[in-house]
Amino acid sequence: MRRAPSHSYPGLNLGEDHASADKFSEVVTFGFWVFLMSDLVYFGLMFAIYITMIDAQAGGPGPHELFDLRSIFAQTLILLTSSLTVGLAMLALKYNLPRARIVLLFGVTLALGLSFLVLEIRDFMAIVDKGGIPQRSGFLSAFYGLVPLHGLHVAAGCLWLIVLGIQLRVMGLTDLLMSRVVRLALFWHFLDLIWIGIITIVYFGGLTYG
Amino acid sequence: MTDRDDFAAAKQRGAAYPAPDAYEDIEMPRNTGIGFVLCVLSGIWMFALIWWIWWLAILMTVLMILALIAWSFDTSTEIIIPAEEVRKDHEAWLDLVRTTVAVDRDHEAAPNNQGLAHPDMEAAT
Amino acid sequence: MDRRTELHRRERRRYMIGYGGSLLLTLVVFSIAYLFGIETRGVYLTIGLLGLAQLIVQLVYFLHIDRRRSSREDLDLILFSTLVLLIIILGTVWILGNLAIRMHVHPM
Repeated sequence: MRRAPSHSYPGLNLGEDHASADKFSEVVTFGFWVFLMSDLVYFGLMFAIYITMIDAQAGGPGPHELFDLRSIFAQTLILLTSSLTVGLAMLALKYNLPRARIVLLFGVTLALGLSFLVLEIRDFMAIVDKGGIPQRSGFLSAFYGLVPLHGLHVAAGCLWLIVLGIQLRVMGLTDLLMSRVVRLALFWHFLDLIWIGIITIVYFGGLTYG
Repeated sequence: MTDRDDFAAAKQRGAAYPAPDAYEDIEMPRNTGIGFVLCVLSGIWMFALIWWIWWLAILMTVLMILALIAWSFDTSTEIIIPAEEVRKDHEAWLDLVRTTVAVDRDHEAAPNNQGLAHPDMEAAT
Repeated sequence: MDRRTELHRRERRRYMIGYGGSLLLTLVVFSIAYLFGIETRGVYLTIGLLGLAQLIVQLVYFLHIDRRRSSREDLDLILFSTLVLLIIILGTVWILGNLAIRMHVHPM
């Protein structure tokens, strides 16, 4: 299964001197793709439930009262930018850029991820204040099933980033850690893709059809 | 493939267990305790969830995450069995096959059945 | 070393293009929502298509999925998962929507 020497995954093809590591990374990364796709099916189910529940508001508060598009806009920009910085951080590691630059890029990614979570939790608190609790209606149950699931993934990504940062510091940049960085970046990009689905279906879809 | 039951025919000819031309290193995953640890922790976790013992559930959640993180620091996850050892073990096994007396169906339950079958092609087909 | 610098520059440009494209699409989506309001099907269809475009931009420029031979396996995997997903989502929406109409819960 020798592949063409173009970059099949971002961050792979560490160079001619890393051929065996590339081989290992390709297999592991493909496995990670399989995980991501199973995760996607999980999200897809939550999306499907949300779509069928959009009208099931049971007289409770609906999208128009609950959603704050300005905050959603800010979260979108933050997540998108963090998706860029995690990619740049991976490239910085791959091409042996100065240590300060790498730390800065990972730090920015982590800070953006955490501020996304802060904004999202503030949104949830505002929604709860307006009476939007999960048990109020089918619509709100579906909403709380889907959006915080994404938030949980982002939180897991942040934890992963911290642990990986510690590991990089302790063990130095080994091939194994590089392949973990590649997978973290994939995971992070994937979360951004899910978020696009969330703004399109949950927020805009909710406002149009809710 | 030359026969309807090729392996049985090969056993009859005495060619069922050929020695390979060359031996290679075998890469194996090393043993790890993480599966057992997570199993026990999540067992307690589920007990806590069922009986609404929230402090225990939170504690177990944290412990499970910490166990995973600690496990991820162990980077030596593979063990290589050298070709020489593979050759030694396999040849010992082949010798055993050669010295064992094969038994047929009639002696399946007899104490002299050492696990090597003497296929009866007539009865099989 | 020079070749690596050149490679680095090229890979970084990919990310920059992806970021620029996604940013542009995001801004367009939100300004449409702001200018026209999100009430009509037409507006929502536009937003949905722009969202789809952004998914593709990010898949290509951030996740490096394209029709090149080297990432064909991933593309197969993604397309198959998408097929499964579409069956799940459309099936759920279809059946539950039909049920809702027959039960006169709410008009879909």
